[in-house]
Amino acid sequence: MEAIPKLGIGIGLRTTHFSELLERSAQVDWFEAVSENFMMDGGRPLHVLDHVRRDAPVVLHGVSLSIGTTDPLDETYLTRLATLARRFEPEWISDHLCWTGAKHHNLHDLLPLPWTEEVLTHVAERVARVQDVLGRRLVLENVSSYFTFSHSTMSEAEFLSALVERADCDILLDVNNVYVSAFNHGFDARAYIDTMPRDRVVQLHLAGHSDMGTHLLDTHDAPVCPEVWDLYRYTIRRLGRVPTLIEWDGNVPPLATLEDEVSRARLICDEVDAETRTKNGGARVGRTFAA
Amino acid sequence: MSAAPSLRELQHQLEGLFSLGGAADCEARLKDAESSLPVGGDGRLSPAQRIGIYTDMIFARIRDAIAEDFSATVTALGDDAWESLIARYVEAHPTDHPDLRLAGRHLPAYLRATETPQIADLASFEWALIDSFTAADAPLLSGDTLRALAPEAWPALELRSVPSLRLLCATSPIDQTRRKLLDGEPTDLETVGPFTLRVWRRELRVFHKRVPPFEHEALQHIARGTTFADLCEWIAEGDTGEDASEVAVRLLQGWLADELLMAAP
Repeated sequence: MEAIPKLGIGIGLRTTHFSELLERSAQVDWFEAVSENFMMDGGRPLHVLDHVRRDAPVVLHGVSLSIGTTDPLDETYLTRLATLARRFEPEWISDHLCWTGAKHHNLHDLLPLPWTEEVLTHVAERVARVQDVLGRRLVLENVSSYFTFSHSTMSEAEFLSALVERADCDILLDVNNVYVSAFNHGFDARAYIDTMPRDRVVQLHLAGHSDMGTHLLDTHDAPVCPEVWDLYRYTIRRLGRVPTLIEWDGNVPPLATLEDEVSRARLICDEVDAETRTKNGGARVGRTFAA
Repeated sequence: MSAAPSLRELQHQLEGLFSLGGAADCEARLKDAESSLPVGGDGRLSPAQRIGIYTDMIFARIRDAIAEDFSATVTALGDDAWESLIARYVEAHPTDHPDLRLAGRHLPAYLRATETPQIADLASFEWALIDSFTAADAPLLSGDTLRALAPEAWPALELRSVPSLRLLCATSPIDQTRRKLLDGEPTDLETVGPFTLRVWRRELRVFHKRVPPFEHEALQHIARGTTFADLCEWIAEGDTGEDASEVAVRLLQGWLADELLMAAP
């Protein structure tokens, strides 16, 4: 398997910015396109994706694979995804560790799974089938959740770590989702990050959320909050400079606002790099004196 | 303690609860179901309230996605009627497609059976605009191709419309009505039709235009696929009082200018 490219900091490709992106290059390193938004036969969205793909790497990020449902895999969907991937040659293809419907109904939400051996086996088998069709590793993202199952036998982080080993897939670690779920379920967000296998995390997500008083809601309609920036810094320290994407789906602001968020993420990565260099330099000096 | 349900059992039960978003008795039904599910609660939120977060979000997401595609229809109905309509629509047509953009694709037909023809026509028009926007691209038949055509080849010339063409017949002036509704101007939905329209995409932009019933019918032939000879024959049957081939050429010129015709494969 080829090494995952280090893309830098990107943003989601959203219709709000289509006109501006056709006129100027965004100050971002790459784009993430929601797969389903481009599973069409023609028209402007595909034209825009063609346009941005000429100058920047693209990743496909799905919301409807429903890897955890007990319905059969949607082979038509998979075929369309594979066709899209052949056309746009994304750096990788991701979706979510969740289910999105049952009884052949699609609920269009990212629904939580119980973390059990039964589910681990089920999801790993389906990941294998998806990877066969796509001819590449699938990347799965942790979702925000608002309830947990009392019969789970492991934590979400343990489940995700076990899954990537068993199914040979990779992780899109959504730092905001870790923060939101940690608040909603009372677990330690940093301990979750610590559990992630470093060599499997190929991408990070950052986004804003809403505080509903009793719980946090993953709304993607606000700037990344200071606490999530702190958790991002912690994540970069632990996992290295992993390609990162700023998500913004509701009340989408002007492109310039997203570019500011990208700059902030870059700055944090640069600061962590500088810390590491200082630490390594100090260690080298220490070793020289010791010798 | 009873054994935990299988994943399949669990998902089937939760799917039913997550689909209750528009139901008046949603809260009570979630409360009734919570003890039978292995879902945890705490001092902040009960299991039913936690499940309800999803139920509310799912309904709102689908409702808002459909509303985005039917802005004028929403305005014509009003917010309360729309909310109630979508609850009934989603119950009749649970979303079964991975693409949320298509959640409203059955709405025009649903309205045809449940609302006035004017509302159904307006929704059909709005859906045609959406549908045309993402229809397949196609190579266009050009004037140069036709000019280079030998006279004896004209009868067998295949005529096909671009995939983005949608033809509508409405009981009211839906194009005007939509514009007024979106601009916040007063409008009524009185029956004064029929109005025949075409919707199509040129490059990346969607256009619409009222056309006479005669052209509308001619385009229906083109949409099904026909030849120049068959088009002329159909025109001749209509007894327009003009030479059929001259009428056909005039129609073709207009369609070529508007990029309505597809090149032969």
